[in-house]
Amino acid sequence: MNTAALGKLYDRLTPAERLPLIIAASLRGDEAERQRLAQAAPRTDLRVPDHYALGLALQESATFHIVDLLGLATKFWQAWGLWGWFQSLPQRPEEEALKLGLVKSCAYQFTVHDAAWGLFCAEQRMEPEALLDFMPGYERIEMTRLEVRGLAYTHEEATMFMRLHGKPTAVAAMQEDVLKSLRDLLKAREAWWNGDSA
Amino acid sequence: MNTKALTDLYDRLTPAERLPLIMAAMERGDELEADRLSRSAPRCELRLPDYHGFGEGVLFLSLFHMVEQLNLGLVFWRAQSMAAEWETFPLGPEDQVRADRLWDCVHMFGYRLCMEADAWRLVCAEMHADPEALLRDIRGFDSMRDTEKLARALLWTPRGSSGVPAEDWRE
Repeated sequence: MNTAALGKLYDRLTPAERLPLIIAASLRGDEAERQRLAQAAPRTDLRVPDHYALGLALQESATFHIVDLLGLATKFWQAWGLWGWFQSLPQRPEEEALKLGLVKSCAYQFTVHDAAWGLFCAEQRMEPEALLDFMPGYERIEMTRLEVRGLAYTHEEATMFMRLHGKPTAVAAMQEDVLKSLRDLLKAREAWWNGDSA
Repeated sequence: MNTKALTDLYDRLTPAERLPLIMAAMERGDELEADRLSRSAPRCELRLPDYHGFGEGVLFLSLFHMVEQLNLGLVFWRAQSMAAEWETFPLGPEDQVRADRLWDCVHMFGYRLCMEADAWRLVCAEMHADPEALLRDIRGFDSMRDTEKLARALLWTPRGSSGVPAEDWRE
């Protein structure tokens, strides 16, 4: 089907008509169509302070981080719940031990991400809670923080657990790995907001 | 202390120097200082496509929906684990009652989780967007999907949910 005629009308789409088409094109991997739709949109001029890009990038990093922490906390509580079930089945001690290992492994991952955020915020010279404590879900993060304390595996134990359960060459992520991914995310989003990347 | 001399230098701050100062001022409730710091920043000109605002709104809506669902999912699992603990290690007959009440809470949180998920699908249908397309690439998606699956298996009707005393399921 020749879509050239349709393409000529792309500059007449409203934002609410255009965005679903862009999302759908992205979803089916049609990068050319996505670009065509995005490029055809009329432009809006804005005048913003020079820290605007950094501010938005930090806000996005904080939002992605809290989603990450909540995802890990959900896994932790899920593992805890399953562990509880297997405790009630005394004839299956191996399953119970496996589920306890999962609880400790999830606690390790949560702790690593939480600590990496602290390091990241120290680099940015800001309070770790400043961008998080007003977000939905933050109370649950605090509650989980208290519970994982004393439960988490060490890095060596977390690596061993992964290797014993289907990932023979795995190495558990460390604070530095998560810190690097946070730095990369901030840099990429700041560049994007500054118009330095496609 | 007279801070006027410092204020005169505010226009020379880099974005990475200015932003932590603005955030610190906001944290201590010093709106005036935050505003002074913000207003003294040099301005940049941006040219954005006209759907930019709508796109940002949709992105943040997706993120906040994900945060809310993970938050509910976390409480859902936590209540389940507590119910299982009361049932597994009962100290007295009242512990089974506690476990039963917690199971009611599990159902209630499961119901809320499914209701939010259904509402999200309706919002996406209004926007002509695939409901998973906006969420699939966000970390935490698999936890959210797994939790919703189990919650659906335990699903109550709205009538059943309204039977739980508010003090039992209040977050």
